[in-house]
Amino acid sequence: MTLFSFEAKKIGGTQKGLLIIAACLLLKLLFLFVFPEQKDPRILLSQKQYDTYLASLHGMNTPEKANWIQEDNEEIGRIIGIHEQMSQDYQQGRITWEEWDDYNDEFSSACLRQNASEIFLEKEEQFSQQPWYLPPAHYIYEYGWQTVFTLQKFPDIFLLFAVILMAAQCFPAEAAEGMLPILLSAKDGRRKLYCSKLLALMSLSLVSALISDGLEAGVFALRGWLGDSHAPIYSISTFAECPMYIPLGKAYWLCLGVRTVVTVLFAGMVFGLSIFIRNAANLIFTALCLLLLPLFLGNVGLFFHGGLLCGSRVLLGMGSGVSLSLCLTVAALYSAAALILGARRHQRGL
Amino acid sequence: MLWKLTKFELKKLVKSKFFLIAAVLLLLVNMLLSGPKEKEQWRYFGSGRQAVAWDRDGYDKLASLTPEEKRDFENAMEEKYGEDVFSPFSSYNLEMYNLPGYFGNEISDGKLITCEMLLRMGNEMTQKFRGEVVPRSKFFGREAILSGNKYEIRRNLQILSLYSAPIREMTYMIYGWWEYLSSNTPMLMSLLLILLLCAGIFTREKEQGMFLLLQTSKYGHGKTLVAKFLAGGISAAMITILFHAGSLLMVYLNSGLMGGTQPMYTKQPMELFPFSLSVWQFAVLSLLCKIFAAVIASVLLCGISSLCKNSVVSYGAGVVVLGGCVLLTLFPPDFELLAGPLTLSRTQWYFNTYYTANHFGYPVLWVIVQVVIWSLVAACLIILSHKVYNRKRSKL
Repeated sequence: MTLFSFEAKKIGGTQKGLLIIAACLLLKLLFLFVFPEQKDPRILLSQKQYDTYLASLHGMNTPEKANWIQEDNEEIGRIIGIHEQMSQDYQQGRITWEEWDDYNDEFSSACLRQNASEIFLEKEEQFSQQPWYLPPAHYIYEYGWQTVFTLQKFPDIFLLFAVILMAAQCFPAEAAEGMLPILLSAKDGRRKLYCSKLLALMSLSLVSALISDGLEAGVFALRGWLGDSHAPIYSISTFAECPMYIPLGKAYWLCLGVRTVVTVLFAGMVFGLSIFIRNAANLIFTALCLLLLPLFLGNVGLFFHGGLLCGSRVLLGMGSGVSLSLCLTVAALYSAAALILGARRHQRGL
Repeated sequence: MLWKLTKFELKKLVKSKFFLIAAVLLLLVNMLLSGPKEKEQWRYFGSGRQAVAWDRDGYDKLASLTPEEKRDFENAMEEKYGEDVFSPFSSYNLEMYNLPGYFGNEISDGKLITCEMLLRMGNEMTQKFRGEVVPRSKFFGREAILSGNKYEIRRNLQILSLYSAPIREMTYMIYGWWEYLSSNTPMLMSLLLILLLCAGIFTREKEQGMFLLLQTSKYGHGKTLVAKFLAGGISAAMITILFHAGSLLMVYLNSGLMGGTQPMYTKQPMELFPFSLSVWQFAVLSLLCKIFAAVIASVLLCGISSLCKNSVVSYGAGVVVLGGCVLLTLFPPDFELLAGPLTLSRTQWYFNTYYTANHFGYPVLWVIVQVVIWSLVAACLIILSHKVYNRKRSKL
């Protein structure tokens, strides 16, 4: 226990681990505050119309709503489509000024509503293609959640970077400072030291992951992106083809939970590798490769830490039948293997 | 002497065992990821390469015909299979694929009809898109003259001269090239290796205690520093070329390359590509832009390394800078000047229209503006590194 608290103090204080975590979290906060909402550009052109449509359609999709959207879109198309004809009719005196004026009002309103109507028609088409056995999707303001899950497509690089740096400060730093031979010759310098360093690193990683998750959820809530959390995930475009019923709020918490667990497992794996790769720079590079390469592998990437750290990919994978528990077990096995091999190598000495 | 020093630095960078293993592994991963993306039409042929080879025969035959021969062939096909035989919605029958066809046992009619139909469709699309540019440009040009906007007047005049040139018709479909051009994997893999090479270029010397020796050496004044930057830049360029060559090779092996000599604007979504470059020339231009982006990334990383005390900090800052640049490429900011140097690696983004910046009323291609800006930033960073280097020297 004494060794553990000493190592925790060393990683967090002497080697500036806490400072690194604070800096990374601060950078993350700044990034999250600055990151633009992933809005459909058509909304920017007709925000009011979009709001009006949303207010009247908000909530569960029903056949009546679907019909209304289709009819409204057809009506808009019809009004805009006859503009040239009406203009000619008016010029040739086939319609009166009053009729032309009424038509112009309708035409202006149709032009204004066109973007919003198209957006909801696209949503309706998305919903109509979803399997019949799923509970109906919801019409919600989806762009907040879209942004949240766009960010979840990538690992939390700020937090992971802090974890990698802390792991690189454990044995590689001792080796660089020439302390490793002395530590190895000390009474508790092998198994106990290994376990204390590992525990200290994993505890710090867990705490920083929890703080990072809290901060992230806080920023998203402050920016108003977490509304309508009871709607099923396939209500938003990212998961339109994901046939899995889970509310958006729960899906987000699941992503954060998985990310926290995998961050700790990843810290363990990098720690295990640090026994073999004692050069800090090489270790950072290897850890980055392990994080980034699975992102290119599609669903196979979910069997690696890098893939599991991307919440959106996890949810999409689960939707296509990949077992989350199997993926987590495989990732835990990698970490365990790296840790056991690392422990054996450390036990053997230099 | 500088070249000798640079060669020495290059040797130092590349001979590390860890780097060599990482480079080989990443190159292999890059080549595996550049492999075939399963395409529906390939299933009938076994592989993409066989599918493209099958198509190539048809295009070769059509390209070898004189205009008269081609007209005769088209008339004969319309007479034999109906007037709408070359339309996209015409019905095909097995008879078309029987041999002998119009050209005897050499090639079936069906293959030639499919090739001709695809070419016609492609050419119509190109005509449609590019045909809309000139009238619109005239309209906007007139508006600009009325409002006295000199930039818009000049820009529209340039657009008129660029897009009024006669459109070259495509004679081959473009296969393989676009997969190579639109893949980001080689660039990302190269960046990882560049990070490994350059982020520790100075800090490694400091950690090994060599910095003091370098400071006291004859060429330590600044030549060593410049040599390190040069070595970083050269290795970044070489890595980028190697990874892109690997990717192109895999595309070639998997699906073959066809249509390299066709104009770039015949390929969707590059219909509005303003110049008359062919596909392979555009691939070279794209590679040059990527090499430039990689060299700038190497200068940034070397600069950071020269300002940092140890490798962990240097790699940390390097990851943050590179990560930020990649993010700016994935989510481009509204304000173009804030786009990082790596946006240059997305060449299509800069060339899918006539994309210019307003510089004192003169339209300048954004890609040129970015190259100039990032060259200046790189030069400033080298000067700053030099100052810090010499300041440390005077403190000794």
